[in-house]
Amino acid sequence: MSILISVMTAGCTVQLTAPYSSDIDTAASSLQSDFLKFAANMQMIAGTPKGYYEQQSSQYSDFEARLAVIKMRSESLSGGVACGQALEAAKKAKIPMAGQIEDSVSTALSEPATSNASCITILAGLAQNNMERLRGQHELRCNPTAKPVLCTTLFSAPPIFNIIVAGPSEAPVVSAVAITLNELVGAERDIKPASKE
Amino acid sequence: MAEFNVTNAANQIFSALVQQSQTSFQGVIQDIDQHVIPTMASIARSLAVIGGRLADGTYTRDIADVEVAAQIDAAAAVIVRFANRILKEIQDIINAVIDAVKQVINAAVQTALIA
Repeated sequence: MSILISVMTAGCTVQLTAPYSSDIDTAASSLQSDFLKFAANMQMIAGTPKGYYEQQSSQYSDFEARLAVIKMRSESLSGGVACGQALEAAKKAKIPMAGQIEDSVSTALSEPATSNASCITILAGLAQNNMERLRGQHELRCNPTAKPVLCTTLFSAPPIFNIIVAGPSEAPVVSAVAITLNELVGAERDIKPASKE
Repeated sequence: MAEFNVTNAANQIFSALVQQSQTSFQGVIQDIDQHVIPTMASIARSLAVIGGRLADGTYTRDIADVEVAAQIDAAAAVIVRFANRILKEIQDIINAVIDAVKQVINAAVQTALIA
């Protein structure tokens, strides 16, 4: 009911999703592309001094700053209903969601900062979480004192598409970052208005 | 003013609702088959890899915990995008109905009463 009330104020059309933003679309796509180039390069140099975190840390500053901008832009857009309401409605409609994942989403959404957030804002937040996990693991596992196998298992071996597609993902964290970025890009594209011909 | 036929108007609106619903939910079903399930399968395989590396001693418990948390957030991202997609489809259906109502009313009163 609250969804209905909040959407009937938008005149003669209804806006349930966050409004499409070409800025977010472009920024997210560019970040996804740059991240995949970085990951492909890391596959070549993991386990060597060039792959040490201290040589690569600036990449994470760049990625994390860009994700912060995407999230801030998304937070500043008004319109649509909170993503949590959509997930709650999906739950009531008995759309199946696995238990642990459902709990994870519910926990994220019950935090004050995310309770009224759009799906795009939440996706940007999830991408930030995973990027920070990768940065932390890179720092911990790719340095002169760590065993090289810890670094090579973080990034795995080429080709990069083995990480991205539904194949044998030997680099779980890189794969998780790639998936969250892909969902962010895809979600923004999903709400892009159809071009009128 | 032209005579307003309630049955015809209802049929036109219902037709718009059915047409948009079919289009929207076909897309959703296709999305589940082509995207949601393969991505979830990929996450499941990653979880198996993490378990194997923990079992053979490559990973410490702390590393495995971080990697599992990353997989859970990746799965959450798939679900959040799917929820976003459902919202978009419902939005398209409602707007198609509003558009149909608008056309029926405007045709009946023979002026652009509803913009």
